[in-house]
Amino acid sequence: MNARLAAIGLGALLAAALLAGTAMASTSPAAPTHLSISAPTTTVSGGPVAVHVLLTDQEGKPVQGALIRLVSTVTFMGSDHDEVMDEAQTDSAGKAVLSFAPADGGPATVTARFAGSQGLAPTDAALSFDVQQPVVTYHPTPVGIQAPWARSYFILVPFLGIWFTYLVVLRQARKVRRAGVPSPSPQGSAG
Amino acid sequence: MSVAVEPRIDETSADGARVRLRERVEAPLRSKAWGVKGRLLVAGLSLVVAWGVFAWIHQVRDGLAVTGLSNHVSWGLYITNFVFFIGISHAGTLVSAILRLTHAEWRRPITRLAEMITVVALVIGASMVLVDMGRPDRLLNVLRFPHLRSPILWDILSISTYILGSLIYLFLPLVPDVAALRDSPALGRVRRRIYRALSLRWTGLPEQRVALTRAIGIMAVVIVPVAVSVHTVVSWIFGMTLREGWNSTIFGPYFVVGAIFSGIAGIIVVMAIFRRAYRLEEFITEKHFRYLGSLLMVLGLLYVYFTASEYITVGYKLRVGDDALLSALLVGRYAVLFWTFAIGGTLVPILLLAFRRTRTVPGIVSAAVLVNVGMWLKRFVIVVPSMALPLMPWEWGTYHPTWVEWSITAAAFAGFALVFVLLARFFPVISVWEVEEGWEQLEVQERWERLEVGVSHDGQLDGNGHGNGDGHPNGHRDGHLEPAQHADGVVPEGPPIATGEER
Repeated sequence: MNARLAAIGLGALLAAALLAGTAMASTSPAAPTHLSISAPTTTVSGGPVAVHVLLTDQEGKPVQGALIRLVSTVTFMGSDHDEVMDEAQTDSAGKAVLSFAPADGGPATVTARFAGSQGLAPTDAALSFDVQQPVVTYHPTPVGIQAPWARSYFILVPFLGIWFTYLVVLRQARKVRRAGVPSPSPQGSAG
Repeated sequence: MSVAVEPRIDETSADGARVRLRERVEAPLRSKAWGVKGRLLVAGLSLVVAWGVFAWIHQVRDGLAVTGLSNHVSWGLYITNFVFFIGISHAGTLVSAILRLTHAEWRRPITRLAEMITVVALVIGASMVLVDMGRPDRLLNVLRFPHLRSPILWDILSISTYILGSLIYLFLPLVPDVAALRDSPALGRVRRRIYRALSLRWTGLPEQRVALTRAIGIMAVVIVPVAVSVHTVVSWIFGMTLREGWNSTIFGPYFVVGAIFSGIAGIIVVMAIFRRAYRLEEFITEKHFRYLGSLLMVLGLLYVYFTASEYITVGYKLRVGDDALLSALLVGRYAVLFWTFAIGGTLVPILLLAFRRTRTVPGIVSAAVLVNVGMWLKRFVIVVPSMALPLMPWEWGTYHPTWVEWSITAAAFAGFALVFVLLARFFPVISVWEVEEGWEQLEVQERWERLEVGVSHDGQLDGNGHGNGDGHPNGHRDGHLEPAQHADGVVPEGPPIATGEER
């Protein structure tokens, strides 16, 4: 009987604690944050681009130690997904430097994203780039099998073997002729 | 008073068959053998060839601008014909050399036709490259300024080596047959002189037989890899070019299988024509068609496998460029040609050959004709679409063959038929001595077997050394030797076509 009462009491205590926690959370909403992003808006494909971000709270004070991710939205199988290109934590000044290297030319957009933590609301900021193709000087590179020592007449090597075999065969034909009598008999036939 | 009685030959005997074989094969060689049909045929073929030569002269004079070729689609009908005829040339290699090496006795009556096909097809095929060049006077530049990495150089060397080898391989088994012809009074003097020169003084002496057999044996071994390498090199002209549709590692074996496939089809068609024209039904029997038909079906299935493997791997990856090419082939501008090849050139022939009901001489010949048409179309859809596909973001290239190209193509086929007809007018289309040799071997084998049976049954030999055989001079024996049998099951007169060692 006593044990039953004790279990009921413990359950009631746990339920009260849960309710109290929920009530506390709902009464203290996450503080809004602000993320600013900057980078040279014109860049060249292939080269790394440094993206500077600054995370501040609602009072404009820097937020230290927040994890910032630099993501690019890609469409795969008909739906959008975030591809993380870099991530870093803000310093005491609320700043972080992230980098990425655009692969293709043309317009590109990256997003710096703070997922929120310790009472701070999530936030993000996007930046568009005009990625230009670099001026590339092409130097012809030899392709295929490189054999500078090879000479054109090398091609004859396999054929010489075959031609030699032909000569051996023709020598046998000569033997046929030599073995035959000079004036063929009227009955000469396949035998 | 004694009356000289000419010894009569029993037509059902082995000697009777030998006489008939020689008669059937040698009759067309006689000077006055041209009938009206023969003359008309030669005249017609010569006219087509002459028209083709005229078209070629026109092309040489005015340049390749008179063709439908352009800098975009620079290969068309000529290269299609080139690959097709080189493929047909594999008939001789396979039927003659491989069957000879494997001692397939049934090959004997058809080897000569196969070897002739090889030589004629090679000559016609090689001439197509010359026509495609536009400036044939520059042909020697390939040899004067050779480039080791140029597939064209490999091609010229391998094809010329193959032609030379095929000529030797055609010539050697001809020696005993032309020796038999050199003294035939029915033949003209000039012709007999030519035969005498070609006969190498053959009289059938043992040492001559040994040397000739050795020479043919060596050539049979050598010619197979040469033939395989030739078509591999032909495939490399495409496979070593960076173009969609040609970037394939299986092009070598794919082309070789395709060549043997169309080569067997070629020999079936030629065999049917000469069998009928020269009345050779007794010697080229339904069995030969059935055996070659089976080979054709196997090669057809192999070719389907290669084709599926090629297109499925390309279609699965579907790289940029490949997608456009595949669309053009399967559902686009070349779809009619592609599906005609796929269905009419492989599927229908395989079905014709697969069922007993259609596996008759007409069915097999129909399948062979379809295969030849289909394989020509296949070569066209290998060559032209890949050339027409834009490498840069431009429009598709267009290719419409002009009358010049069609005329030269018609002349190539007519030339093939004409040279063949003329060759058949000068040389026996059946290797008579090899067929007779087969019969002799069969008779010897029969006698030995009778002897063994006689010893084992009676413990002693009968008077003439025979066992308890049936006494038939041909060695006919039910259940072991197969006589020349017609489609309707009628067993004609004559000895068996050597089948004692069928493989």
